[in-house]
Amino acid sequence: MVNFSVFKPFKCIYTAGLIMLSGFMPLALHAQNSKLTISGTVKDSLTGEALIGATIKMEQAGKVGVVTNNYGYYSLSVDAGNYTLYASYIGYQTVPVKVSVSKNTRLNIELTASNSLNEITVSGNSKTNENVLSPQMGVNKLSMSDIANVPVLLGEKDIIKTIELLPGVKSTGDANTGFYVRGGNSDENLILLDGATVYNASHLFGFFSTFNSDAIKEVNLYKGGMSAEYGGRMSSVLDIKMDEGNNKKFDAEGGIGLISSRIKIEGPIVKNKSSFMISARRTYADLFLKLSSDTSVNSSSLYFYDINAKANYQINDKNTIYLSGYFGKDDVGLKGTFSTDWGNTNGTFRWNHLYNSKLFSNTSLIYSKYNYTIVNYTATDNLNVYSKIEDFNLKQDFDYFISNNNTLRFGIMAVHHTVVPGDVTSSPGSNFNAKIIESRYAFETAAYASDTWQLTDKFNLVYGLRVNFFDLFGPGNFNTYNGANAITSSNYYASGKSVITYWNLEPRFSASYTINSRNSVKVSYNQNSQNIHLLSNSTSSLPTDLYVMSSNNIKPGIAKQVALGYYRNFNNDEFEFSTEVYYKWLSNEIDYKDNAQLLGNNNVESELVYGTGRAYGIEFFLKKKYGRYNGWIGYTLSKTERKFDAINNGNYFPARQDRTHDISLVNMLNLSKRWSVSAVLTYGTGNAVTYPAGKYLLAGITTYYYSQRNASRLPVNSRLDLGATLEGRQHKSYHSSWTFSIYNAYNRKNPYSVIFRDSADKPTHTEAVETSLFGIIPSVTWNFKFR
Amino acid sequence: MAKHLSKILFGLIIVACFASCQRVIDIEVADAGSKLVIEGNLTDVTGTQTVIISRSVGYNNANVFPAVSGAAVSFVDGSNGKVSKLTETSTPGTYAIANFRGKTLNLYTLNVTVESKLYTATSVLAFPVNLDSLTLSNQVFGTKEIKVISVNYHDPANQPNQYKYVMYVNGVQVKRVFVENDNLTDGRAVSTMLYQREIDLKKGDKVEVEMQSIDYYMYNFWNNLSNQGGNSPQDSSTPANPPSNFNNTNVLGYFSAHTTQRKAVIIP
Repeated sequence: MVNFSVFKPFKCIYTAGLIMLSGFMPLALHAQNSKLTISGTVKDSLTGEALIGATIKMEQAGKVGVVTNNYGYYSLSVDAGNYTLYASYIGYQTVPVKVSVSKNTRLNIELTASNSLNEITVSGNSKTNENVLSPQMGVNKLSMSDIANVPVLLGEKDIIKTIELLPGVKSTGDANTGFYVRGGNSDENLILLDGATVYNASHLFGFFSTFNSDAIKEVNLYKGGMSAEYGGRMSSVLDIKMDEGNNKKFDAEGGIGLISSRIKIEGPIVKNKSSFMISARRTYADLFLKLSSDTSVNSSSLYFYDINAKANYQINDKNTIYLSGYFGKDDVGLKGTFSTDWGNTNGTFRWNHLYNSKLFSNTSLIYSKYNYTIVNYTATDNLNVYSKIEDFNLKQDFDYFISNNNTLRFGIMAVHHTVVPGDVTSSPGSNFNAKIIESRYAFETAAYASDTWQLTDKFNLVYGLRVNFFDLFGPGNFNTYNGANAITSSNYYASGKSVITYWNLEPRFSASYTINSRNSVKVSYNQNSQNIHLLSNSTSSLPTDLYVMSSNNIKPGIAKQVALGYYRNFNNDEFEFSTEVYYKWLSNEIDYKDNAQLLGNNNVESELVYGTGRAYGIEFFLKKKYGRYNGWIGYTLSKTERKFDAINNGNYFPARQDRTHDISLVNMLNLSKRWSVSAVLTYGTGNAVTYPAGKYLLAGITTYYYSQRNASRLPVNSRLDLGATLEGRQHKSYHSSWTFSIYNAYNRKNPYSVIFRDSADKPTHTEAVETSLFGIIPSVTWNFKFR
Repeated sequence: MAKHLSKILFGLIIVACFASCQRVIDIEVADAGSKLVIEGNLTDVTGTQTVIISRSVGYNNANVFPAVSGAAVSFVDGSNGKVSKLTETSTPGTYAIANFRGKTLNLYTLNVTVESKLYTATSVLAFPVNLDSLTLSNQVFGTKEIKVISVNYHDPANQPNQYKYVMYVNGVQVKRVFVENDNLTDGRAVSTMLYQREIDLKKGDKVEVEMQSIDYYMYNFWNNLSNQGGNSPQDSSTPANPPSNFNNTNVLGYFSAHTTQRKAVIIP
């Protein structure tokens, strides 16, 4: 469903983009006095993987240094002469590179990984205090070794479970991949896999996340102060980049675990020019069901699989193309009763192009889809429900390396959204009628510019603006509802005719003041908007969650956040410490009325109520980066509240995810060359819940009376997970290891739900019954690698 | 049903894969003040119609609900304005009228005066739908096979219908609210499973089911109650009081004019 009114928003965005860019022009002109450039890529010497965020410094030019972009590209402005460059990257050996410059020079640098993080390789030019110097705040970068060493449920190492151990990030509970960042709802996180939006990040109702760690290169979580290139969600950005694949030689690795197995193969297509990576995994929990003697149970299905694949081809020094994709599917069913499957499909095509050594371009064509199908088979209950959300996204980004202390990123994007809320079909003999809920279409376009500017040695700045334009269009019948949620008007809009448009201006700003190379103070402000909203009758990730877009009834969600932070490194950057305070205002938050009928409802927007929210808190983070022992401790003290006219007499009440105290302690210790162990301890205030304040008798059933919303607390959540890795002996072409883990080692019963019932022993009394999901769960995985 | 399906699914996974564990815990809650509770029912079958008036108690109290005596209670027939008074029976707080029934599609008003305060609610006696039969099937829940009773009926086409079921096993009421509407089943032959794990059915049990056609507001009321409870991620995230059809917000309960029909089976 493409329509041609799309050119209108494009034009608006184009104009807005030009105006914005002209604001940055003085900077660009200022830069024109520059001379020659040294530019190129920084890559891993063994795999050819681009290193993102590596620092290149010149000995001769004092503190001048630049950082590689998302594709490992850098550009340095210099006068003609002889230079020694130092390229450094955490975990890699820093080596000097001599270069003689008389014209624009291409210099590709390869770095070699240190044997391990255990050795502190501090050379004079190694720069490991990027966290202190960078103006970016509210960001946590996770290395894959952090993720690999954290013990997790059933040995399935998991990005999302690991980021939940960072301050400011809260899990929705055991068996759940939903997460809350600084008081935002779980649908307010922008989750990007190679630039493609992942709508539902969970497998098997949230026991596992959709991200197969084998295929992941880097994970960045922005809790605030995100740059203007990111938009579309209110609370956070989880930017996940997939491995590119080894372009030097083939290798294969994998693992066999108790409930799943995985394999990854990577290698060159054309040596040094082109590589591929393919990674797949499948769970076999359903094999255990097959062991059951019950025919209904043993013919049930319960599994998921996913595949990540990526390939790139470096056409020449100026052009590289990338193709990456993800496909995942969950299948749960009882033979002859029902089956349901759901999953994400993402694909990204990218073209990197260098217009000149200072202007880097990335063009992306991105596809994202989430869909589910429910089929009910029984003779009388035949029913088929299909739902999807689908995006086509065209994105153009530029990195303009104005000077060694000034980089401008700007770009435009356009997304076509389609939401199919739920098509119900049935056979003639079924209980159910076919019912088609109208699909919804929208165009979302945005332009942004973001400038990273090192004003002085001590003062760094990132400032930018994002303009977002949202256009909901027909065909379809659009109802408008009044405060009492009755229909006040109903209009038909023809195909492509605009129903409503929203503009949002999103200023972003963050700055750092470096007191000295080990101490800095940072401040940030960001404003974000959101036009895709998730409606869920529950807080778990059920596949039947419903997506709605901003409309004549639903206004875009808007978040504004200010944050102030203090960063300090000590002991030769072995330890990093940071603390941030934040305050966040949320508007147009959505809640639904009691009994909201989400499935098969043409008037779902009449079931919604709108309110505001606020969240504030302080986070502490202390990390030991190197040594035989490393790990971190995170602590968050925070408050998260919501306000709806119809709830709690219009007063603020704690959001479900309001968690006053939240502590994570992550420890990793190398015992010997072959053994390493890890332990993770978490402790958090229980979720805010509504407990009954009274009771009465209705229709012979004890019925509970509720007064204040979310005035009570579930019991404290706490857990200790242990892990151990035994590395096999080194072989020339083969390596293996065993990973052991114990989830919930002290068998703590964490609350999953609390229900109320008449006591069986004392029928005139009420008892509160807590359900907990997991006791102690040990697991073992055997990992292998061929090279 | 699809809503329930996903809950059943979730339950299945949890039960099938992991040994979940339940235990009684102590909680601390502040007791709310006592509130008036009115429960009024008017059926389409000639007989004794009753209204029960009581008070709620704080959470920490025993489940002994004080009866409210001395109230003035009456039904008003909206088609002719006729007022029918109910008198308090020998059971305190229970008010009744004998040999009385409501007529299909009539609007009825319940007036209750307690301590000189008037409480009013209205309800339309819903269109009657015949309970065709009860059937028995075996369903797998987790790793266990359980017997489930289904109600079978033909939903009238082109009109919204709402249903409530009350189940008794050997005369003991199953303490669960079964309620549904015809949002996706309008005009169909419908078979609805009454899933419950409170009383496992076994051979020789007598299962009796009452089917009620209820109005739209009562559907909302019962649906809210049936969704209430868990405080768990797969439940409606926040329990709230059901929307009462009384005009006074300071009273709990409902007034429902509905049809009633019963059928029974013996589990073979």
